Amino acid sequence: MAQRIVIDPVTRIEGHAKITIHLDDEGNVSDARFHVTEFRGFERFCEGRPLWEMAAITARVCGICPVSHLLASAKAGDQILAVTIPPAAEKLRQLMNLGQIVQSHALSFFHLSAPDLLLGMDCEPAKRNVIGLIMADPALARSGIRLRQFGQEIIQILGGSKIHPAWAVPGGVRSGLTQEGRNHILERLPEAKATAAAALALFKKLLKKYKREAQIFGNFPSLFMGLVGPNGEWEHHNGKLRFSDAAGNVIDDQIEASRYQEVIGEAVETYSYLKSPYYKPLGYPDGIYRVGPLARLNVCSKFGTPQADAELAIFRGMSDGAVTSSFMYHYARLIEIVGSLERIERYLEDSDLMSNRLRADAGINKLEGVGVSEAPRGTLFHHYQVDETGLIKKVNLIIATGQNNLAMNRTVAQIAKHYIHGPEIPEGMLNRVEAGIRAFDPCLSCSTHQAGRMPMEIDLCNARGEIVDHVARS
Amino acid sequence: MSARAILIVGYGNELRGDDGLGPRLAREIRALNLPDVHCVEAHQLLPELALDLAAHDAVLFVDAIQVSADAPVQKIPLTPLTPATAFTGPHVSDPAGLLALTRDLYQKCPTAWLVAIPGTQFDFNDSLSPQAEKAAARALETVKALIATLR
Repeated sequence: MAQRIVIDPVTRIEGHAKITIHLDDEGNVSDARFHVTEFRGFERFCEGRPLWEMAAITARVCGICPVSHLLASAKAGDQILAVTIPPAAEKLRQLMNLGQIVQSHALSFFHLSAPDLLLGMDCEPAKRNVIGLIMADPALARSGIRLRQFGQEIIQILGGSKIHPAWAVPGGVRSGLTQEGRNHILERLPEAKATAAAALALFKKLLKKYKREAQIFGNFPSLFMGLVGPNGEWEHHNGKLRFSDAAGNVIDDQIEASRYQEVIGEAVETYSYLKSPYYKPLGYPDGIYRVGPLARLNVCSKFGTPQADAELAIFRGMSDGAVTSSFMYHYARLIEIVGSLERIERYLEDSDLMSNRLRADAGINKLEGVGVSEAPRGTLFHHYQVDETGLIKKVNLIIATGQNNLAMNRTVAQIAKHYIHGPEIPEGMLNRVEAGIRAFDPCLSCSTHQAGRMPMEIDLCNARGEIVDHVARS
Repeated sequence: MSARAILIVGYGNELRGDDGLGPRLAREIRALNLPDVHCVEAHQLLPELALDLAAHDAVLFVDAIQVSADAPVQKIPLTPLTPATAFTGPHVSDPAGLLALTRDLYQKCPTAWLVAIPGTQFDFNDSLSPQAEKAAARALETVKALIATLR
């Protein structure tokens, strides 16, 4: 008798989702799916709003990574104004994005995933949380909270608030960095760097304990996509798109963000509010690609800072081609914190940063613009069409988590097939399925933004798990 | 003897009408420039607020509560949750959970009160209802009186 196992809700992720695992008559996993069960609607209700409001509105998509939306939106606005923003504004935006990457990655590692990694996948669920982590390693928990606070302070110092700063605007930024703010960031940098280095050393040690998970958590060949600089170096705000394959070969490079529709298609599945983007030249679903920390480290030629490049070399030494295990998102995230802190230090020494020329003024000069930025979870696109007065006619947002949708589904199926045999399932096994999703650090609040009436399916099951009714709309 | 350091945490979503009462009160109290009183406005109670709590002797959480418009402003003494029920998520928290996090991380837990202000309109809106405006004025007096007793 076929059965279904449902994990609802998936915990310690941003947003709401569930996982369904289907068993065959022998009790083996036949299929598994990751369903995103929340729906929002940003693309539709932005229509008719002035372009100038878009950065502030779309920052509200998310409380974890508002900066990513703010910056992608401002960049789309730059395109529509057809301006080159002042160097100080450009560098300040980058500084804020680096602060965002640090705080978000710190949240993911220390608050959401460290309980699994430190306390063990089989630890009692009531203890497998940040409080349990505090009991087990209070110094680590405290340093993690301080590191996240440091990233948020950078955002607050620049934008005036930690969450939803209305700071970046089409043409530049509203305010500069004060000497006091610069000094504060510089003062706190050594502690942040020490915390990041210690977390990375800890993870490398833990990796020996989790060799099996590293082999099974979403370990499959796929493409990877991310922004890179002109020489292929790691990028997070500027640069152009690069796709590479599992063997480490670059298959498409230096693609302008404005051409994203030539390379990215968006499929819709009936079981989730999350779209499934794919690399168009390979079609759906063969064009599966991953974004985010793992992808950025796989596509770049170098990080561009000494410590991060040294760590990148060790990371790459684990594989002949690309690092394909999704478990390694954790590892990549920590390397990105190290490198982001190095880049923050570099920016603070840049004399352009203290300039008061912060904004290029212009009217509507183009009717369409695409802004792209690397959010902590991956590449984020904002695509706007406006009328001649600057009112929004159409919006398309492609969000990092959506681009990992195909990979998350494949990860869930891979883990479930490996660990689950028969209807008696230890909690620790189910937690491994959830942990596979957590490795991607998905942000579902960001991802379920598309407009229109969404397809929905409801399975009605009796007590024995048999489906007795099925309702579908599309 | 030095005065006790007091933290005001006004939290809520200012785009959900009366839910903005907390941040509004935090700003009003900050404008009073009271000695040794620090104010934080927050959307939600995030874990890193534990750092601020640990640095103060007393904390007043100020939040909106959905009750009838003529309900009084409530003063509720708080104690930290037990570890098993405390803070477990990135932004799913209540004041007692945040107090527990502070206690467990820093072995310090400030005296804490929740000032709950009645609100009635929590729809998408960036202003307070007339009833909430009146409640805000009452709440300001409540908070000032509490600060005086906590000195």
